[in-house]
Amino acid sequence: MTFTSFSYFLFLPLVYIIFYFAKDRYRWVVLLFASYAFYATFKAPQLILALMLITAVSYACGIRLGQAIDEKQRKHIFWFGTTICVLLLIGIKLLPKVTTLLGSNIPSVYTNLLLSIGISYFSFQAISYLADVYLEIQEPEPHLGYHALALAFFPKLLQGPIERAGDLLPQLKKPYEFDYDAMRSGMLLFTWGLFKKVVIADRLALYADQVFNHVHDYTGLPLIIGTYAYALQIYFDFAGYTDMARGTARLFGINLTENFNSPYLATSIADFWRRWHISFSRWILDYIFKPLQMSWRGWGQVGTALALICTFLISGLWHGISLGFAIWGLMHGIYLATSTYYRPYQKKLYKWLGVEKSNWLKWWQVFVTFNLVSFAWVFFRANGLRDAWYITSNWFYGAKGLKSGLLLSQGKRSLLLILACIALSVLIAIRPQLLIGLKSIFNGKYRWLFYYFLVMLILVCGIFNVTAEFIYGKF
Amino acid sequence: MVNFSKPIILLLKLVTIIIIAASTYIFLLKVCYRFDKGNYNAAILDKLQLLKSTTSPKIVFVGGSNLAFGLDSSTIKQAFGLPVVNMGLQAGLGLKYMLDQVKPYLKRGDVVVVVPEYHHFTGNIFYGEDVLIDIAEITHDWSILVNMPISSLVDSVLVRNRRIFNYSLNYPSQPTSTVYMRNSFNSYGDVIAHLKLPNKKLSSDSKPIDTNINQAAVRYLANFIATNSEHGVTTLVLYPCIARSYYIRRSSLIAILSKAISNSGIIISSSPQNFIYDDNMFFDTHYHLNAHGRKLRTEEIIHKMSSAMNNTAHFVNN
Repeated sequence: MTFTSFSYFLFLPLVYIIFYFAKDRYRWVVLLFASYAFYATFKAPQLILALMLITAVSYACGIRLGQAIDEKQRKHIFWFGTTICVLLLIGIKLLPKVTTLLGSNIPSVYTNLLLSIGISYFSFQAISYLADVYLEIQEPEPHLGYHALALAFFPKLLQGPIERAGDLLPQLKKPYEFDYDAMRSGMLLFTWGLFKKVVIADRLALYADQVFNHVHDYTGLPLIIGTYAYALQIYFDFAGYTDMARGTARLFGINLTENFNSPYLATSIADFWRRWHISFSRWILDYIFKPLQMSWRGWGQVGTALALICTFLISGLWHGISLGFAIWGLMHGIYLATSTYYRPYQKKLYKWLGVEKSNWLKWWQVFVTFNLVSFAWVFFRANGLRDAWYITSNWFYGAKGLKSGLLLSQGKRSLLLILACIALSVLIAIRPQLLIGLKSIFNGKYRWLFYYFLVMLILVCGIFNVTAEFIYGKF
Repeated sequence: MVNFSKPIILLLKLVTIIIIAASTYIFLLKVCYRFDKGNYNAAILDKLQLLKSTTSPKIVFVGGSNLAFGLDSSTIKQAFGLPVVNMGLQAGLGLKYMLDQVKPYLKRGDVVVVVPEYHHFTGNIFYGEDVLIDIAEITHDWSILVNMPISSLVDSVLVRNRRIFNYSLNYPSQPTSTVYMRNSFNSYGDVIAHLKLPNKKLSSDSKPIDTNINQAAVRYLANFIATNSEHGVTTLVLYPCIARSYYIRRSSLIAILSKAISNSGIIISSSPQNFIYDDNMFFDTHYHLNAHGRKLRTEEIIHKMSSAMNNTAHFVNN
């Protein structure tokens, strides 16, 4: 069951009704049961077992960390819990690779056993809980039920955001009070996320998939268009999912972390990572980069650069054990590592040229950053390194496939719709007052009329394809 | 004391919006629908007419587009001396609809050859996909949608938004294909428009296979065979033709499916391997044979039918 499936539209109201009528002290039971039921719909028992095991280990280790006084013992407990989480994560992620390497032809009916959906998120959340308890930032959670719910809460179970226990647990324990405005805004946020997913991302996927699945049919401009289409697709897909997750959680009185902040308007790669998958970037910054940087601080700037490269290599491999993801992570690491060297000179250069406060410079930086990010996405998306190499080495040669109609392959209306949506998104991003105006429409006197139009827009312009899964659901 | 008024007001507003939007959407679907007599799916009318008008004993082929593209009914007719009706149109109609539509017209002495596609035994495709709504519109028989699971029906209705999104006043525009047309079929129900055309690049099958075997589909087929047997109708089940590259990718699933079908007591007169052909014998997809592949497959079908019936002479002499 995904957020765009019909069954979710039955599941969510049902859970809400039971939640609403339940007494406060049982509400966590309703949400926990619903979360496990939601996860069980993927028919992958190994994932349920992994979730239960990670919950039990992180709970027990958390309690023991709270009781232990000896620093050495505390360290052992922390590393024991973390190692279990990491081993389970790696084990489940590696399972498909191992079966392939062993040459065993796993029958398709058992392929659900190779699924790893959600594990990257709840295992990272469990590690962050253990780290916070170990560092005494967070008190150990004494209630197993609330701890289990914090890890399994269904709106954020499959694709995050990766919540910190300190942010989520108090909200889960808070007595629920019906808030009309929160409900309305939650539903609106969910619908807006659905629009991003089925109208924009899935339509962009038609172009991106066409190019990435048949790379040798194209050269030059179509390859560039395919690359940009994927860069935008992954953003709208993931941002759409996050909006739907946040909208769902809001119905239950929970505010989840905002995961995106116009990432393609970033003026540098460092800025990009402050705006893209924010809960994940904070996680890798706090739990991987900072400890590494601390350990290598004796090496000065080289230590920082190496810490950045290692951190982003791990972040690439977090998406899956493949060379493409590793290169993608490595590229971001190298972008950031080199920037630590050239940034002071760059600032001096801008000052010398007198353009440091120029708008043109800002847009130039946005353009460069977007292209660097898009370049890295090629390795992330391509079906193998050969394809990625073909795409990047043929970007500027010829235009094979353009005349045969890549752009018009889905019809003129599809192209116009995509361009209109992108133009609107850019306008909103660069002129935030437009968003305020848009919000006022959706909060004004005739708001229900606009809700109706939004629903109709989704129904008429959406791509309702059962194969269109959320991209980040795979990681 | 819980205050129910606000949640109920919100719920009512929400339900109202959903009902109005759904009604508008259905209305738009209806307004934007224009029956195209030349449409590939409209061939169902000719096939049903042929089925009704062909006298028994007859041979009826039931299946998806692999039959439409990959069967030479006139050769079958010559081999067995019986009139042939090829009901093959599209796999998306679902095996249930395919069996249900021929059932009333089968008489004692008839032979029905069922060629289900592998997808029919997994997930909900047994009940049909969005193309079944097309057939309901063409035949004006909406009852065929009754058994579709509600989630499949909703998905199918949503997928049809293309009709509104791509609506044009200049309809019908130029036909997009010379093969996928109603007039591409011969008088037996075989597609013949592709036979002299060069092969196309085989379209990739991106659809993920639902890995859950639908036991209801297996049981339904078993019941169909049993009922036919009681009424003196002989039923043969054969595996569909598929391209070798496709088979290699799905061989493990196909093995499990064939085992599940055998376990249910259904006797299949072929093995999956009997109908696997090289990719160059396919016209445009991994199921649609070209002229050469069609010839080989028809010969193999005749061979399998003859062996299974164990009474070839009877047919030939008749």
